[in-house]
Amino acid sequence: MKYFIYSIQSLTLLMLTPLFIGIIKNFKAAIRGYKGFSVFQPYFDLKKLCGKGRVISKSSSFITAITPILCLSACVTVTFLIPVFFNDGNSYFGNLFIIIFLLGIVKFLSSLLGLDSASTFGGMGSSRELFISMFAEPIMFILVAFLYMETKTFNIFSITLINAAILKYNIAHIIAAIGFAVLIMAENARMPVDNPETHLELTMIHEGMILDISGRDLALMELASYIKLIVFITMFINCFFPLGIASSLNIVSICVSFISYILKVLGILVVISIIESNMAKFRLFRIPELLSAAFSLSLVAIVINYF
Amino acid sequence: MIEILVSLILISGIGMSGFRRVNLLNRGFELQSLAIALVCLEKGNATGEYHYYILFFLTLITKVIFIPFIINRSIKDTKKTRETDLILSGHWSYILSGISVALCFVFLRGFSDYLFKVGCILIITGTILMMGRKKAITQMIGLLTMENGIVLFEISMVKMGSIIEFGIVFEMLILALVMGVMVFRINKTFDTINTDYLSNLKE
Repeated sequence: MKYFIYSIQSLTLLMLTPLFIGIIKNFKAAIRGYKGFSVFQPYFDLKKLCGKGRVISKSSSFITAITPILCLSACVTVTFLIPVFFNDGNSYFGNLFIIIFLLGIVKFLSSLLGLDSASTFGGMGSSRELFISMFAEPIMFILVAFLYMETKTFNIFSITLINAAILKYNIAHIIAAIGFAVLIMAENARMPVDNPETHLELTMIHEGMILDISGRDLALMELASYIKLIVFITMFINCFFPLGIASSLNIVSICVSFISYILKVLGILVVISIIESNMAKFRLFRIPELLSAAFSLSLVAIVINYF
Repeated sequence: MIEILVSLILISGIGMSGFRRVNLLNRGFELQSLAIALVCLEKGNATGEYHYYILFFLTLITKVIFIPFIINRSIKDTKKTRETDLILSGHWSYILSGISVALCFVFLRGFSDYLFKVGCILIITGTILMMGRKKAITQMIGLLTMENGIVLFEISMVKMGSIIEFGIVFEMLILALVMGVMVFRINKTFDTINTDYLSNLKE
């Protein structure tokens, strides 16, 4: 029964992902003062793209053929390894390192995809992606070390179970959460690091790598990047502020937990859309400054937690 | 509540050590002072002593409203909004302040009061801001950050006389006023507020 709920919650996450993306686009439209499109538009876009055939460049190899489906399958696998709104501290799966490396597969394959189509923009996108991830990976590992020092476990389900009991967060916990929030922006190519809406060749990072694919492949890559964002947000919620998550198979507590999860996600989406509407994109060589701020914040969190 | 305020002070301290735009630094200082004022209010509510309330009002009036206003005026007058050539780059300022915060917590591990440690940290980040920048306005904000650290020290200590609190606050107010006028005069005379050129005064 418990594993049935686990699979149901992950499937719910997968189903809701394009809706969340539609909501964030709608929030941004509302902040900018125009009427946005329907929140269900990402579903229609994905459906339209899935109906189209694929066009593959003559100079590309098998990488282009297999990358989209591999990226999507890595992202889908990750959604089955994290708690969403039900968690009873299971210890069979959910190691944080497996989650990080599965997300690393997405990054690795998409940078290969950028290089594979032999166009200049793809190569530039790949080099920028790896440049940013060079600074972002150490922050991720330091934050994992912080979570280990706080809860003495690497399993995300146990971490969620232990942190759900905290009612009063201490200083180290809040600072580490801020560090993780910066990491979400950097890893998912959101605003201060990369503009997810633009296709201006000189600045794009994530769009640069997927510029040369179309049709069904594009739909799979877009869906993979949507899932990656929502997975990061879910990890943020469940590692740092999991208050209210259901820990027993009780229909009332699961409903309460589901509603609180949705509200938390919506809150984070509002914050992201406010940041994206009010900030300009950083110059590429200013990004290390942002990430080093996050690095020193996570370092400080570990030290405060230890002493 | 006090945990959130202390972490806000810490984050603004670390963040301010690497900012380049003077406007952002000013905002950061304003936020930090507001958090300190609220810490005073929280302390006053917890202990019921009146001098915390006095400190709250003084901090709110001088550091959240008046000093940022003076800094804003001098930014507008001199039209220098951005630090261009840094002695210590933004990247290294962040790393250095992170390491120094860590060292602070290691050396002061015997103290249980967070406010004492955070006061120490603000003094160090203010020093980094003063050493690593060349513009007079940025150095002034560094000095004000150090002074915020001293206020936190003072809050964490056993009760001092209110006269010392008045002393600290009014000294800073006068200093900010004098610096505001000085920055404007320096800019008018030398056409720059880069402190490197101040050695020209020798002749």
